[in-house]
Amino acid sequence: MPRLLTLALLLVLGCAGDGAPAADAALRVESARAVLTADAGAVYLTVVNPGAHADRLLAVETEAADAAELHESRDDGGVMRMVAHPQGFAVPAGGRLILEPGGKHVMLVRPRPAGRSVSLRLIFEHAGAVEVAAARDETMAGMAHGGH
Amino acid sequence: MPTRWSTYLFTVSTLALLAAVACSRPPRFRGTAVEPVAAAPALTGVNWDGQPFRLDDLRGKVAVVFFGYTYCPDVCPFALAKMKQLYAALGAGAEDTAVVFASVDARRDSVDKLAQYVPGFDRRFYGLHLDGDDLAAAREGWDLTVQFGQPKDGPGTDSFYYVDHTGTFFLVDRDGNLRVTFPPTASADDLLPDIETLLRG
Repeated sequence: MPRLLTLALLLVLGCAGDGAPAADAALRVESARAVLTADAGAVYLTVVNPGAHADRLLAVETEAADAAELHESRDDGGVMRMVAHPQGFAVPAGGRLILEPGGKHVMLVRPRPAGRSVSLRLIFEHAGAVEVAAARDETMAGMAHGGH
Repeated sequence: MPTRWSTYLFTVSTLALLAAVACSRPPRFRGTAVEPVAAAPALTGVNWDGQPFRLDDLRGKVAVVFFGYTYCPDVCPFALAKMKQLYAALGAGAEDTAVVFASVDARRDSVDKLAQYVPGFDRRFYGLHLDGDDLAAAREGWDLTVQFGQPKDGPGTDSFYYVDHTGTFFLVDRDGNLRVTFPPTASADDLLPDIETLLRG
């Protein structure tokens, strides 16, 4: 009987292991989009970490803005506060880091968009640099750069 | 005597029934109802098109009032985008619903600046510049928290800085009364039923 239990346990573990392959499984970045207004902008994206080790998004670099910083908008009893995260954001093992409107985001100071997307370099503690092109999302932007 | 007794019974049971109905009535609003109902605080400024604005002039319409600033990278564009969704969901009701975005950052948000920003979301939205006394009155009347961050290029410069601010959505009815509030995290779908309730009167 205990042997049977062990077998069952092994089977369960085996199944769980299916989704978490080798430790070097690469991070990937999905649905990156940039909302740019006149003087500021935000980039939203999802970091998927299929690997068995946690990582951390440490910083973002771009030539398309004066600065790019990791920030979080937080609802503090009805007051929206901007909280800087100079230590970056954790990316859990086998999990994801979600940057979305009204929450964590990459904040751009004085964006200088060229074309339909914003090029960014995401710096991770372990995975290193990951290049990302964030498509400009016009649905949330009020400012039409070079528009009417 | 029996007649008087039955009248008494009838009255008591009717009152009990009325009380039960009153108590079991589902809450009228999805947001937080403002009780007691009272006139909305004054809001006076200049719209992005240069026209003077008074909230009182919107009598007859339902108004969604909220505060922000154009240098706001995340929350304010998000809030205005929600208002766009709201207008789309309201359909014809949008004509009777005013969206009022009022800037708490008078120094950087000139009327011109607002003109480059607000109509990009929807030309029907109001985008208010509040100066001096208007801003002070709004901060007090609407009980706003407004805290200016440190400019990036150093103190005293007019450069990039954040403004932590009250992000509440305030719903004003057709008679100019403040009726419902929603937290900044509320979606267009959250606001919609309450606005429709207020549009029905």
